[in-house]
Amino acid sequence: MHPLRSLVSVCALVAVILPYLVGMALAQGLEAEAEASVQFGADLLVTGVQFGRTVPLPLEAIKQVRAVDGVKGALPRIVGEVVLGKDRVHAVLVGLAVEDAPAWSACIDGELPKRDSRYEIVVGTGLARRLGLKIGSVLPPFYRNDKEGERLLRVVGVFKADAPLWQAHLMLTSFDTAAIVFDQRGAATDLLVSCQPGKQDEVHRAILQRLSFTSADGQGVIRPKVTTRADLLVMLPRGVLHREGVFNLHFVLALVVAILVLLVTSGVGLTERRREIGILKATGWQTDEILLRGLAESFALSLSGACIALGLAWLWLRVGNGFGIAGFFLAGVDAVPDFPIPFRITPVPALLAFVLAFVIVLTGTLVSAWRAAIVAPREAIR
Amino acid sequence: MLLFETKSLCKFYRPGAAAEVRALDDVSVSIETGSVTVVTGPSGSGKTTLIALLGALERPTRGQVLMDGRDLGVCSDVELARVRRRLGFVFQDFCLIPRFTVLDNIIYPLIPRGIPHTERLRRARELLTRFGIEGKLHVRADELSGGEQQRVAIARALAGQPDVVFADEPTSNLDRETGAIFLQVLKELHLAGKTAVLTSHDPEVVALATRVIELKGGKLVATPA
Amino acid sequence: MATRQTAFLIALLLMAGAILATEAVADRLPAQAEQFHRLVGGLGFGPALDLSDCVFGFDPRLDDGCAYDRGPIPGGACVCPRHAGSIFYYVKTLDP
Repeated sequence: MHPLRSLVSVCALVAVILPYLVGMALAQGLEAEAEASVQFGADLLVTGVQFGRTVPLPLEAIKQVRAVDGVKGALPRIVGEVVLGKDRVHAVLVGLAVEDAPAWSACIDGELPKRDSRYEIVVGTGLARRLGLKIGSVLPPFYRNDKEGERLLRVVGVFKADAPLWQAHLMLTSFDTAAIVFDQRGAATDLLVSCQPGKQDEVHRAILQRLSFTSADGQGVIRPKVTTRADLLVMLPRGVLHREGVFNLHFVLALVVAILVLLVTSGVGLTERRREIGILKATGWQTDEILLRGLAESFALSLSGACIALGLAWLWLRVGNGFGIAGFFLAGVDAVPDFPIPFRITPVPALLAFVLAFVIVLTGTLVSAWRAAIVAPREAIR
Repeated sequence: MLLFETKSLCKFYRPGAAAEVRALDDVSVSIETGSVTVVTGPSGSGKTTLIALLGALERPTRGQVLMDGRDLGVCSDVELARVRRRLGFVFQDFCLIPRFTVLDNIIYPLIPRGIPHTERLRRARELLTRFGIEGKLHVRADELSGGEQQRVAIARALAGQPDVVFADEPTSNLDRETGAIFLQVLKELHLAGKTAVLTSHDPEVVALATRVIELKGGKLVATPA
Repeated sequence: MATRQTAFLIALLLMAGAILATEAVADRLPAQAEQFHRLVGGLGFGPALDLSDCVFGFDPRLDDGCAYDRGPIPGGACVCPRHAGSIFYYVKTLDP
């Protein structure tokens, strides 16, 4: 194998395959995280629908839902967006009755907001870093509430970095505090419903068919919308067949560029290559044996490129924590992520990477190799 | 026994064009098995073209090249490749693969002949020792001197134990000592019943010839029996 | 030379195999996944880390769909900057 041409070919392969492998690894890591979110989340999530759009639920819904046969519990939750600081850092504020879940505080350094306290928060690692927060820090008021006034919020806990990635920009507080921050008394964005074993479908149907709620102005009706685990699992992108969207478009473009690069590099040293092939033919090699040798070289180059890309992808994600590239795929992540980037490197994308590498190399070199191989030996040597 | 026969052999480059080159024009010769045939003539007389056609390195424009009665001009590429496996070729400009080592240059032609790896290595080492360059086994061909390259080229041609050796000015870059070794090899080939076809101006090589063919301007001058 | 190249290729294959084997035995679920999601009631699904621009990209449970969805225009399905360049693309299937 020609050293310089091989090096250029392998570099072109790595340049194309590396982002592909990183993207696929991130996708599969996200898949695992999303599955966990579905698996360990509430049995059913109830939100309101008005004008065909998702709207908050009035708190009266809690009593109605709890009354449905088969329901073990219904917890109101507020999930909303706040913007903090002069840098306008976006955060997700979640308010719910956290004091009911002592066993789950293992994902926090510090403690959960106390049962009857207000204005205590647990922040994610991203927020902690960007706003310089730690346990005991206070956040100046960032919201408006004309009735209750604006208060300082005290940080009582910070999520651990190895909690799921959505903790990074999260602020967890009590339901009351969240209601004050958003100035929304009497409403919740959703209800977390837990069901008795085997009763989920029944509860689902009952809520949809029998319940409705009155809107805040007392004039309109809010219908319930129920999301089940099955609904979410159907949406979950699985495997490596990500057909939609710009990722694949970019990748196809990169593939074409790589083939062009290889077409050019296979032209580099073509005279020398023709001469070499002519000498081999003059000394007894057949055309198809020469092409087979070229095929073996392409195979070795592809394998090298794919393996090097795999190694670099692993290093980039495991050791480098996706430095620079994670922010491209995960919205809200800085160049240096505040948490371990979720990723999984599995055999199928690695195998696809090799197949792609082989296609690229073969397409780029086959024509020139064939043209060199069919020339008469003396003409090729001249 | 007749090994090679050419009948009105012609090789034209850019036929029909104003710059047409008639490298060979109506050459009819025969070469016996076991003979040492030397092709002589001034520069540009068609010597190299003749042995290239006999060695199945290109096809004639007109006429025939028969080897063992078989017309090489109508053979397929695969058949020609198989013919070349019976031959050994020493080119005037050596034609080594520059980025290969000396060892690789010698053993690569043995691969399609189905010779096992250990035997390939043995033959290569034996020939290189005979030509006094066994120390250059792992040196790249483009790092050798002209004389060393020629010795490697000769070793490559002989490694396949060919039935016919073609050599184009084989002693032109050799010192007296190595040239003497080559002549000795030639004698041994002849005694073993192998055929050699060479182009040369070296009187010592011509002296070994059992047959001399003289070309001038692409045409045969004399074909002594 | 051929031996060195072969050795290099084998080394690369072994490295790739080691990486795949290591990843295969690594924990599939994140360390604190259960604790976190039990605590917050299951939050987060997509590749966005906050609700700006695209709530759907953070968690499809919280919204009806991606406001940036321009499908069926080719490529229009994902011009949203919050869908991870489409490495983790999902569409709305949750009907009210």
